[in-house]
Amino acid sequence: MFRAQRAGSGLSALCSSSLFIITMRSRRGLATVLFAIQFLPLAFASDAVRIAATPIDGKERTGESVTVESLESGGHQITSTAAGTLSLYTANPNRVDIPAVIGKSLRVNDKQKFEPRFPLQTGIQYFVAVGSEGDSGKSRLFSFSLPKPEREPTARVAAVFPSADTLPENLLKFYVHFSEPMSAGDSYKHVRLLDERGDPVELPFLELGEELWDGENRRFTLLFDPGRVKSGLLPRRESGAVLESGKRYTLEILNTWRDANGQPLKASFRKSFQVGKPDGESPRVEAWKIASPRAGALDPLEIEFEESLDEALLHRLIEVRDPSGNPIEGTIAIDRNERRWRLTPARPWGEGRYQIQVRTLLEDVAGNSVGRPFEVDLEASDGRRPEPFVFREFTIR
Amino acid sequence: MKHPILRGLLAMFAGVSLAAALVGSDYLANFKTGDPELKSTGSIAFGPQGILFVADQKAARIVAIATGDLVPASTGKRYEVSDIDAKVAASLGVSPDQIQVHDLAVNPISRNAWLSVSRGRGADAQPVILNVSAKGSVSLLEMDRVKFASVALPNAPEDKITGQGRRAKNKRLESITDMAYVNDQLIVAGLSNEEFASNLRAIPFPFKNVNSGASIEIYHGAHGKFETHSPVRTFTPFDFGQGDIHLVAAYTCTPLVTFPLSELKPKAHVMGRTIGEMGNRNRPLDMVVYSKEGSDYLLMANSARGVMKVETINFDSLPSIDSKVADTEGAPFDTIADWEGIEQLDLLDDAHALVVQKTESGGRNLVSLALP
Repeated sequence: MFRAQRAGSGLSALCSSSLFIITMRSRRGLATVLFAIQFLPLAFASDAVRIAATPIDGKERTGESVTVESLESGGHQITSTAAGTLSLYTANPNRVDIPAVIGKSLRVNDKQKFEPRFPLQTGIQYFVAVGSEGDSGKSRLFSFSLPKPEREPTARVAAVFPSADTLPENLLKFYVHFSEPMSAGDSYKHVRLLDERGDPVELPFLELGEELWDGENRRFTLLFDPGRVKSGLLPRRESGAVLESGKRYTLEILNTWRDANGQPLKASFRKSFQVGKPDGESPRVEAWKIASPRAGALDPLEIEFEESLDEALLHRLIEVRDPSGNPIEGTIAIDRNERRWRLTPARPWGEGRYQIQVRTLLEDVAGNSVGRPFEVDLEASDGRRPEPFVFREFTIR
Repeated sequence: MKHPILRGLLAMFAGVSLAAALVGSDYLANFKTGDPELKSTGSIAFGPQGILFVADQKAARIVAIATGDLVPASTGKRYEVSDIDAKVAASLGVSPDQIQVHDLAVNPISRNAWLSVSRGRGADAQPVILNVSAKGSVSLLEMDRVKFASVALPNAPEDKITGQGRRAKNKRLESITDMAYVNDQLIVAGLSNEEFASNLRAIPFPFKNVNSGASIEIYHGAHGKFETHSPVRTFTPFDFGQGDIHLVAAYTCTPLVTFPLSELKPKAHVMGRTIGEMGNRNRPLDMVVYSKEGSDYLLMANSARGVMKVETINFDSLPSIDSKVADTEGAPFDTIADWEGIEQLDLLDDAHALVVQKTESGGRNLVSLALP
């Protein structure tokens, strides 16, 4: 077995290399080797460690050694000087019936080598069986683990949208933004909706095995169960709407949610909000207030909405075009509880007539899009399909 | 998911080598050889000739991979693999908590089990496609030199900065909630992480161009009065007879609906006919259709209400419970008591399902079960 210890700070100079070696030798006194780590997907940052090794069965034989080193590719290579095939396991193969780690066996200069198909994980114990293939009982068994750097939790909930304190009864979703990439796969375990007494509301959210993340695992989309938002469906008839007008609720993100490095959040997060009347109306683009900047200035164009709109869609679905029809480059800022959208141009505004193109997919926080309310009343609808865009214009002088 | 129509076609391919060769040259004609460089993996489904469709949602595309898994199954293949999640984790060299099993698909030719797995839980989790033999050995589909073709999902997020110069990187992604191959089309159901809309697509295969498979708008009608966008969570093709193929689908808002495959045209506005509401506090996970003793049944795995067996005999004559006057509870169903903890479901053969079943101890087994 191995004993891993943290090395002193004087070793840090050794850590700059991407190469590290763990040596496991059965001869007493030769078991200590230093190495540096530069790590990869499942693993974590560099650190220096010192490892003292003994073979797992305690029976030592002269000249036998098993080493682990990292490769430039980010993978690892295990080398054995002992005779016989080399297999890697994530548990003791003499005790647990598990398959060997998938990888490639090589023989180089009388040494048996094995490259696991994927980089190894820090913090778990690996077992190396050297000997008769397919009969681990006759193998010599070694063990190692790649040290897991000790880390303080740093990830936190950076923002939750919609940000307003009063939200409609038919609120459709929250966006939860994290300061760092997060772990996926069991996300709904770490989210609760609490009622006024602090009791969790039962199954308020649509739990999808696929989970709705952005590409960096920093933004999580949390949809309310649409069966309890839409009118007339069994979940809503039996359990009622998730949110009730006039009551207060708290969205709670528990610190048990782990970041991509396996660390919990620094703290739990709570957003408390009042619930108002349901919103069944489409956003009215014609009612938006547009404040035009002056020609020659770098002041932002400002658009104020009648209600809070979907924060994510606001970043994508509004575009401003200059008098020649070219899109204006600049920086978008959204504030006032997602009721204001500002575009600060990269270059000063020129004079002329500008066009604001709004995709009718743009939604408010209850899923009513510019083109279509969330629920269309078929008796009142003219049945027409929405156009893809609506337009507003403004003039810069 | 698999269904009798597809299985019939595939049996034909597998059984008649000349036909397989001729048809195969069509299906694989546009395939490239190389590394498809998957960014992620999620839903998977088999098409003809051992072609596996993989939803690569981080890259906003579907990749068709020729698995080469073409040896017809010996009869009576059965699975009894305990702790499949632990075995997968061990094979990939990580602890079981670092494994996410996204989907299970049975190759209808070989009857081999294929799993779509992420190794790791962060944004850099590695996508892995695995083949599990009936004996429980796990092998990796190496991607460095496979035959593949891919199709971008329309409305894919653009990484390039357009229009508003320093606009934040587009965070829109679509989660593919289910896929099935039927009649030379790949049907793909997705849900965006931003706008709430149905993203059902019928993508012709072999893939032709990126514009194929424009989104079909799927709606749910409530009591003949309200109509809402209704993303599809899981579905299966079902033959109403004489080649009148419908999709039986469960919406994210839970009703069980059907709509004709022939209506799934780009930009069509399709309202599913509600034939059942499968209950509150429950999420449909997966469904298959099978025949037994001359009748067809729908088998649906759920998060909370076990596995439901639904008689399909009346699917085309059941009154829609969307209508204002109907007071029906919809399609009758039985809950299969012993099938608890089913997380993944596919057909293994005519008489057996293959499932990933969560045990009381928290482990997961890959087992074949006689169809109820």
